[in-house]
Amino acid sequence: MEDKINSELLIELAKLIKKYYPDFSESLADYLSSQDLIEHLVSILSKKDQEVENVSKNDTSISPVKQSHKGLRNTLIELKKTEPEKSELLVKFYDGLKDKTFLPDIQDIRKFVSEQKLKKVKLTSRRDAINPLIKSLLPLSLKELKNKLCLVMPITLQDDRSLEGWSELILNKPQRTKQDEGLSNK
Amino acid sequence: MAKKVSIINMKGGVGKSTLTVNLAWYFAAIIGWDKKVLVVDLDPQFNASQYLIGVSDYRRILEEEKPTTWDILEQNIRSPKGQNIIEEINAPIYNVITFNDGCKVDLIPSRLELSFSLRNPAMKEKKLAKFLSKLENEYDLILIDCAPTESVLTTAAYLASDYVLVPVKPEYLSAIGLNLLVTSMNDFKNENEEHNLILAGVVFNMTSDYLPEETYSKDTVRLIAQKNGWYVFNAEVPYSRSFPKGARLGKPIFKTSKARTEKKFKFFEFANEFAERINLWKIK
Repeated sequence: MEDKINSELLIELAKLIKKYYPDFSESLADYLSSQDLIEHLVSILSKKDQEVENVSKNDTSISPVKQSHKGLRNTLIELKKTEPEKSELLVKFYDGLKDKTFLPDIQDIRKFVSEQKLKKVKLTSRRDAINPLIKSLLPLSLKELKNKLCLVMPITLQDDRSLEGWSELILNKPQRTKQDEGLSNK
Repeated sequence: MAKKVSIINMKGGVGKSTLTVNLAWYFAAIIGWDKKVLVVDLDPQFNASQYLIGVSDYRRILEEEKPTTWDILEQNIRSPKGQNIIEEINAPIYNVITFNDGCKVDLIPSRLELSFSLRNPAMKEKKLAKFLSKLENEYDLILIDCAPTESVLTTAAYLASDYVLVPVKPEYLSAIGLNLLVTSMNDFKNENEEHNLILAGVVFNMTSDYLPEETYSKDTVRLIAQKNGWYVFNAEVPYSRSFPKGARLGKPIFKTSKARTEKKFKFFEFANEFAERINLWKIK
């Protein structure tokens, strides 16, 4: 991968050299290879990134949906450390929204937001509605989340309704002692 | 004050738990009905509990020693460990779902140990009725999912109920089983004349298209019902694969994906007729 990037960069440089040849001086080659220049270029590029970020935060005309979808999914996964059930539920809902298993039309999302009295966001397209919808669900408690989602998706966790789960619960219960039996045998 | 209905049949596998849960969801979730519903799981097999809540929540109930229907029946029984007393009336109640308008489905779960109550049934039959009398003003409808065998649990259900709903699967063995229920109810009424227990009706549940056997069974059931003055619902609840699927997902049939519209509407028809029979009305 690195070789590919380097090759592409060299090609672009070659094009520039060809464009400005022979107007640039030969000392340019030394200048280009200096560490100072590399650091200078990196700092310039970093400032540009910061400006873009600042504009994004301050410019209220930019819709909040511009945030990368991948970033939000990662946020939901990170939530697993503190709230694992909620994380699993939200990731499942998020993935289901993306592949249109849940709320396949923009009207479905509008109806869901309205019925569940969620924070209203500008819904220009279904794709753009996904992130704001997930974000409006993030602050909710697990129970509130289950209550809201249960009518559009199976709310139970992957292993929570499995036959294996019930079998384990029933078969692995601790043996009752004779003293316990006394409660009903008196 | 809540309408209290026991869903009962001496024959197992006729769909009592599934019907109970779907009715609970229907009256709570469907706009216009908007009811607060309590499901009481009175079956040691605890199928209604399994349907309504998942493994992890149920495990938490057991680990935290939250009261169940077993504890309700074991209240005030002396033992070497002391007396079993439920101090807070809402302690056994598990909220399954609450909607934005406050309508809800709550559950009093059961557990396997409920069967141990049968070993010493003395003085237990009135405990459920007494317990529910403290709660009935908080609900519009209380549905009691009963065990399929005659026992103190059956009597407890009768005493706690205003109505009885009898699901019947139209097949040979179920039709025979209905006679057991006739005997059970008649015995109860003879012993408890002061208690007004009304049979809401017999409903054909899990019906299919296998006509010859079903027709014969239905005719037999109608004959038994007629002899005893029992109402047979006009609406029938057809078998649908979406019912067991819904049980696995914890959802009613009308919230189960790919459930056929025709099957859902048949269920709605029955639910509406059932409501009429027990004088349960829509919010205007």
